[in-house]
Amino acid sequence: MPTLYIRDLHVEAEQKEILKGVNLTIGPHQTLALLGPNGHGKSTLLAAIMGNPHYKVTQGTIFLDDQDVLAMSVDQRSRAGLFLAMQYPSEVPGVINADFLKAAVNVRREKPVTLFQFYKMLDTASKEMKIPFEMANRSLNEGFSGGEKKRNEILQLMLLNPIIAMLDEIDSGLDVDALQTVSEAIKKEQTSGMVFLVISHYARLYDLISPTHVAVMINGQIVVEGGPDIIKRIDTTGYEWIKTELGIEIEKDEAIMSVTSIGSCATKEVLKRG
Amino acid sequence: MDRIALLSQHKALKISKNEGSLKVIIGKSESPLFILLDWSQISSTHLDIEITSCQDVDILEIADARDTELTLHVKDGATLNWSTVAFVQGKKTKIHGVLENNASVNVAFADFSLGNEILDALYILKGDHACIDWHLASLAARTDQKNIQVSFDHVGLDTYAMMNNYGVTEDSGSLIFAGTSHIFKGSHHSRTHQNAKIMVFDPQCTAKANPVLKIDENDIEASHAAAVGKVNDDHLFYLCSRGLRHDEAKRLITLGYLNPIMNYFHDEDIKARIATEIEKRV
Repeated sequence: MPTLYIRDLHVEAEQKEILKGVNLTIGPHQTLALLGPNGHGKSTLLAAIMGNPHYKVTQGTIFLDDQDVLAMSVDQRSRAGLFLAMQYPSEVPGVINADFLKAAVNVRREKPVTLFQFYKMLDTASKEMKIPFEMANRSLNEGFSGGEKKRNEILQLMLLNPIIAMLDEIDSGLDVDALQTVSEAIKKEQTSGMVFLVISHYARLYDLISPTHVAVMINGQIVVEGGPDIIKRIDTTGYEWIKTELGIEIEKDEAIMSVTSIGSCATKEVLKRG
Repeated sequence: MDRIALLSQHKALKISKNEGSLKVIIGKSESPLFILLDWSQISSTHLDIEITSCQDVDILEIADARDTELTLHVKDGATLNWSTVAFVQGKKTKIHGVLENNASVNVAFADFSLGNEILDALYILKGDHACIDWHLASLAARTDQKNIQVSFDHVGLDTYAMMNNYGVTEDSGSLIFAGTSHIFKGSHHSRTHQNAKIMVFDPQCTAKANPVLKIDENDIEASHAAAVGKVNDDHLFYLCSRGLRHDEAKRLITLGYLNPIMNYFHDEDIKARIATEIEKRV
């Protein structure tokens, strides 16, 4: 049965350590809600599991059953059954959504899917996600609204059928109807045995998909694990109780805005007169 | 669609010779005109083409290995859809176009030629409301040296120019996109936009994108964007995170750079040939 084991994981980005020894196990039939204040490493954990090259694992292990995830390339991790629905899915100009999806489906199969089979799969998934079928012929995520991008992430999940799906703020940018559509799709996959690791700041999504387990990440470590009641507590009282009850000082998110300048590009030339 | 050769005997075509160059006046036709300009079928290397007022013409140009010079005169209200494919050895091409009142020109240039290529194009939007939409895709590989210069002079009122140059350079290839969009004094309400992007594959490549704006009027709209760089890491990660191998992801992204030029070609045989050429070379 699929289980993801994360042990003593340390990750840095731009020479700053973000994850400082994460220990977490996600097992069969689980939906784990990962909570924590902004800037404490939740998205970094998901990105590191998927192998985002911006993040460097300096210590620790990640195993999917007996497979060493850290020894795999990004594409191998995907084909091994890991999937990350990204918070900000990339817009890739010129790469047609349908071509990309077909290629992604085919890398998992010995015999390539026929065009008819593929369009049937895509049509079914598009209807389920309420995405107009024509969007399959547009450039990947280019010009998609925030909600369309998120629904397209779940459409990909449905087509690729991973073992463990990681959802990074899948509910941001979704209106009430779209949230319902996305959560229905997640529930369907939960029933079929897909394991979920879900980041969200809002209890609304969790109410719809009913996580089985909860973990709270503070200062780059998992400091609390338990059942769904933790979600309600955090939703009503925030994270202060962790400080008072566990004596953990919550570091402030010190995101510094980068200095930017707007340059002048146009040149004005004084034409010589007569 | 059936095309007629540019120098064929057709009632809408008036051909004359003038000091070594050929002049073709494309006149009135009851049905839309689809014309083939295959340089390998023409002895002269200088062509002067005039599209008469209010005529709609579609010209497909197949480049050959000679240096060529082309003068275009698009009269009032005429529409010219011009598409060029270059597959053979590179060369030097000079284009000088003049657009009169309400003239409209759409250009698609698919450059997959081998070797060196110099393209020097200047379109003068002389008449009021003249507009041009320019799309180019170019690949410089091996030791190809390609210098693409596309310029627009906005002279008339409310003129519009859009330039999209996309390129890929690999091996020791060199690709330079340059050109100036100049809005002259008195060209009120004109709009000009430049977009030049080059994807660089190998450390030995040379790539430069230098679109320049010159603005001499106030109530105008102008923008330019230039980007030169390797394949975007975030794009690669996104595609690989769906299981695509690194090389396949890179190939899809590159095709995404070059393939859109096919949207501007309507001849199925030519589209298939461009697709084959891109697949072969990427």
